[in-house]
Amino acid sequence: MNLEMIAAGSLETKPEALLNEMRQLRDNPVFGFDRLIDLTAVDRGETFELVYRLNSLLHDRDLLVRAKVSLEQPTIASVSEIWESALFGEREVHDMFGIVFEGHPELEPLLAPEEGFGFFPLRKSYTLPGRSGQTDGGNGR
Amino acid sequence: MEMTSEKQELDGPGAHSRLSGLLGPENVIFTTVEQVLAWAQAHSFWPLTSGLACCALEMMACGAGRYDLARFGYEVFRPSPRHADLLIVAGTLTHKMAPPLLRLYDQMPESKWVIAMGSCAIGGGPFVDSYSVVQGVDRILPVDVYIPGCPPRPEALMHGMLTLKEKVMAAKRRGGKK
Amino acid sequence: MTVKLTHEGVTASGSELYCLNMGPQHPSTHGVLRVVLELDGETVVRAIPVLGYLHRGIEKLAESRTYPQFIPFTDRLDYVSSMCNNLAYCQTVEKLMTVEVPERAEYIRVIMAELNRIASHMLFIGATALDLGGMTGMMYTFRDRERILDLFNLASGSRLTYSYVRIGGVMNDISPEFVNLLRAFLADLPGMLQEYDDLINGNEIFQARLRDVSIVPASRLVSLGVTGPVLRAAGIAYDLRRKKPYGIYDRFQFDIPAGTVGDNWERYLMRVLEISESAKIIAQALEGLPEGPVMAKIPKVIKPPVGEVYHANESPRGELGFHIVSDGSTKPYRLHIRRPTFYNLGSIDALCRGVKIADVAAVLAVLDPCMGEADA
Repeated sequence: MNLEMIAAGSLETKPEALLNEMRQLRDNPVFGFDRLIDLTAVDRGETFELVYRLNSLLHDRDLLVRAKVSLEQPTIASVSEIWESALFGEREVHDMFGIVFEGHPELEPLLAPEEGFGFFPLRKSYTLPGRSGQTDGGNGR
Repeated sequence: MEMTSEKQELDGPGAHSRLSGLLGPENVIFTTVEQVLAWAQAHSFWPLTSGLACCALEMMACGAGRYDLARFGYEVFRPSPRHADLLIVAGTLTHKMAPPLLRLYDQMPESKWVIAMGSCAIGGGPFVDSYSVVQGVDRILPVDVYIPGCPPRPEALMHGMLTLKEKVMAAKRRGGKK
Repeated sequence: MTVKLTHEGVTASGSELYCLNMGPQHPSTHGVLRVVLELDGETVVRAIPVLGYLHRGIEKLAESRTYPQFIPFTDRLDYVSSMCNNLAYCQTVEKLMTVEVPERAEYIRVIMAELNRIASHMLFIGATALDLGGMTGMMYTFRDRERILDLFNLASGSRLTYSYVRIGGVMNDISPEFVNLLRAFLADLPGMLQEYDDLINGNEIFQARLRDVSIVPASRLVSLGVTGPVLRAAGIAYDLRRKKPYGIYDRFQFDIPAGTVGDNWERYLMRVLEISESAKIIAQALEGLPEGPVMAKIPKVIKPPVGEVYHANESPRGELGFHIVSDGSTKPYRLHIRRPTFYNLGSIDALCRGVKIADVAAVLAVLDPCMGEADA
């Protein structure tokens, strides 16, 4: 991880190295990425790809950090101790994809109901039931 | 002077002179409790501040200066369901919001009415095939008036509330329950 | 929902820790937001926001809609500023497809986006006054906002959810009647702002309720991912229209108001000042409005090339971004929306700790949340 990769605007990291590299990205004044603008995930079919969008107010530049986790064991370290915006961002990704963020102080459902959806909506394996197939405990219309 | 069996309009054009005609020289009118109650309730619905999504903004605009619900007696939006008799479901109802909405409805005292405002409340709207949206509020609540639109204009909401007024007045006139 | 209390037993003030629920139906929560408050007497010890009551699954629905079919969904995200959402989404798709939007359409887009910003901020002023107990304030701002909605109605046919900005341009051209009405509105705007100054801003009770309340250091807000007027009130003059100009915003002269203290009063004041700046931009755009088409020549069936793009706008609430992953088909493979209110609401705990319970309504009001956007 060096300034050239930063200048390119996007870098890929291994899940095991994520926490260390993210800490460096924030703390090293040469990099100075003081905010995590957005955190999301994409279901790429064989893996889940986490996308962290960083911004440096200091140097006025952006950086995209990607990390891939497996479908069978979607676990990765939480960056919420580095940037507080990850507290909400990771909860949303957890609700939608089922990715577990180790070290997150409160990985409770945020957008999902208290007991969770019962499925992970944004995974490609989940298909919308369509207009007629929805079950909602109603009068069955 | 007794109320005849033909429909006596207690509002609309010419109501004042009809009312004066009805009253007669003794200033007495014979009617039923249900009809007076209906007249009072229909002319002063107290809606609950139950805006869920975008339609809530048109509801607020309807209560504001230009469209002015106050001239019909409906501007008293109550925050507490205990004081309200009209639940205007304005916006999309999600599975997470359905139990609180049902609890709000249960907390409202009788007589109460429900207006489904906007296509999300009528039948799910543009989100009908979503995994988290209830396909219409009438799946969990009895709806009296449906107001189509996305969002309905404030005039449409007014028309819906006036339709509800007619419904309430007509039911009592027929001797119905509500 | 069981809340784990911060600590059991008697608090520093000698009373018991009390848990109070606010919402999701509440007159001051700006929609279906629920805040669970932990109180020590009247002071807030912790505030836990509970979202999701308006989660409609828009990101999943995007995967089964074509790109133009998704435009009405963007209206319903932040329903108070639909034009800005339309604009952000359409510019993202245009970036993916490298479409060049005609000049006249670019100017019209700026006019519409800034008008929507003024309308959103007027609603904000009225709603803040209403939340603090001054219902009259709401009446004045709603009356004036109606004039903007008349303009939008004339241009697009709708009052609230326009779908006016389309991929490649705008829906249809603006008429001379629109321009005349707009000029009349801009001429009356200083008078309207003066009225709000006299009635609302200048009211000493209003100021006393907002000044020096809920001061949070800027570094904390940056770490929380807060953007928009709340961040600018804390002194960081970051506005995407200046830092990363999109469309033709680099052609206009306008100031970015920024605060020094970062209290509720400055968060409120930012938006009041931004109304004047938006009026300046609209006036400049009207001067420079060229003739020409309002829609680029794009294929009937929108099929962006395979790729991934992110584009962000400065919406009235902060940085609104769209992240689209395209697989070359007519429907997005993945569409993610970076919603400003979502991250702004993450700061409720930081903003509410230590304030009195009466100020919680004020904090929520000056955050200006829009739940349609927070929950998506």
